[in-house]
Amino acid sequence: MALDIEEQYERIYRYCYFRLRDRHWAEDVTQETFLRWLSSDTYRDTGQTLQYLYTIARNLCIDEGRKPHSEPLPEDMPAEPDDPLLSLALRSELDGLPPEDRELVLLRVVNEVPVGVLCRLYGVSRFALYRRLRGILKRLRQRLEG
Amino acid sequence: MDKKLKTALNIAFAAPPPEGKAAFFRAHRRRELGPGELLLTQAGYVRWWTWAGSAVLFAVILVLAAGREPGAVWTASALTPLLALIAVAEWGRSRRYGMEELELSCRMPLRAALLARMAAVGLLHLLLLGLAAPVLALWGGGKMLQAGAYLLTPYLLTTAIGMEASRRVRGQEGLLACAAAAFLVCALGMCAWRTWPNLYRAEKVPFWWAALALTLAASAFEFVKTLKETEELRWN
Amino acid sequence: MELTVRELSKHYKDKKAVDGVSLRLTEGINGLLGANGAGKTTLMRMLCGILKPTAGSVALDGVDVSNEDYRAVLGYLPQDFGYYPDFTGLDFLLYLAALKGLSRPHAKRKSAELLELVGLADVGKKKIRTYSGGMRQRLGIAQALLNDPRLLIVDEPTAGLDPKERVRFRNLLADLGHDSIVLLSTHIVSDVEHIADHMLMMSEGHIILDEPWDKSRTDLEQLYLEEFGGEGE
Repeated sequence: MALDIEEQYERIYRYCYFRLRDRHWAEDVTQETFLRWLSSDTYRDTGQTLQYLYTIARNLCIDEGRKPHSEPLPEDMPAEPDDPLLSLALRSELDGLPPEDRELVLLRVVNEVPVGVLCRLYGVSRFALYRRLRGILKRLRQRLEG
Repeated sequence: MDKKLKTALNIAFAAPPPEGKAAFFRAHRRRELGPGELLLTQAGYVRWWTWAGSAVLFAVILVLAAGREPGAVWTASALTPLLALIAVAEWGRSRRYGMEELELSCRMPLRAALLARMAAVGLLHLLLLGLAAPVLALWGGGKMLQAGAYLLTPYLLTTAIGMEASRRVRGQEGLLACAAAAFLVCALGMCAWRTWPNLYRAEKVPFWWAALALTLAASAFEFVKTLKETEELRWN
Repeated sequence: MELTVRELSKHYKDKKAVDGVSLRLTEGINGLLGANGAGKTTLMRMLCGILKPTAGSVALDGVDVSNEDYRAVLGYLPQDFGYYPDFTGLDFLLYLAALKGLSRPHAKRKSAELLELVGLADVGKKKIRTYSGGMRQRLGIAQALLNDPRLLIVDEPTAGLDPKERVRFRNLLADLGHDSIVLLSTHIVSDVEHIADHMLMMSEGHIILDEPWDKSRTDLEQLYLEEFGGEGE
């Protein structure tokens, strides 16, 4: 199954936006990610594509974060929820999570990144990843249900 | 992963839509079909009745062989031109339906696409003939290689004539010309059995090897010429 | 972006269809006017890599026409095109998308988008043989846009279309001229008079006019007749 590249662009962008909190910056980094991927020899091997894309994006975001900027990167989740009631409890719980956990939720649940890719990205075992994810999701579900 | 939580999380992590996506993808082409995928997609465009027709003919040949009549091999041999006709008809489709011009302007060289289609059909036929030969030999008596020669020679003769005809005669008439060639070779085969039965005797086998070599060379020649044609559009 | 054509020629045994044509085309609508038999189609076919020139060269930003990368950004609508009889409009687009090397999900999305753009969305699943001439032309323009071409070559696109469809085509093409090089050949003056940024005229294998065009001008017909000395349409 060929990867839907346009969909992946949206997802990588969402990831970059999560980390950089600025839509233009996020899009620049997204495009840079894809450019690097397109010019590399490995772009045809769709088995490794996601791995490649997320690795590049993550490294670029880290590099960008290190650059001397005027504002520090924001820590909180963005405003503008669609359903205020739904998101309020969830948002406070998400805010309470360490950023790495928030990132994990974004990648696994929202971006639907396969577990294998995440394991390689973070350098953890499947077991560790599942356990951590389960814990986070359990807490989030509890807060959602009130 | 319950839906409610997933939906809520999707909202929580929503980002403002990216503005440069369309422009970015316009500027950078996607090259996502490799040679293997090309073969597969082209094979998918070979019409279903090419596969069906081949299967039916193959079945007929086997049925004949099962009858164990002395003339089975020769009759089967006379039928292979029809198999070849199916192949040549399939190969000539671009030209016949005027799709060539569009196909040629595409990134994927037409030659590769055509090769892929020819390979798909050609391979199938070789496989069928390869399967038929031992069956015929077994049931009709006689060597497997001999049977192979008897089957392959009229097939190759027809493909050679068919490819030449397709190039010289445009449009649907080209197809008719191929059909005529096929039936001619067919009839030749049928008559030969009756008129010169000696030809099918064991001692005449060298003749068949020579004929096979000749038709193989002719087909190869025609094949190369057909591929060369795919480099550019032919004026009428 | 620049399409550079140098001394391009196509000679046949008995005639010179295109003789020593040199051009530089950039983004926008480039109109190519000429009578039938002037060599427009031959020229366009060489610009698409479909015909091999007898002499000369064609390159887009330095990439030669024989290069796969050139054709990857090329969209072409020939004067007449055929179709495999059992194809539906959608099949046709998907087939060509495959040849253009687009991945399946992208091809599907793009085809749906283009059918919508040319107004064929509700007949996409019908067989092409049931389409009218105008519908087929629209399908033709759709396939030319599958790979988001930077170079779009369109040969007599409005032949056989009714006036309303002609206008629709013109508007569509005018839009595309913004960031692609569009070369539009026609023998109908009104097709290009108000949308072209650059005007070319061809006669007997030669380019006899090659200059920027002001869309507010209304003397194209006159100019055409002058250049052709009454031989044109």
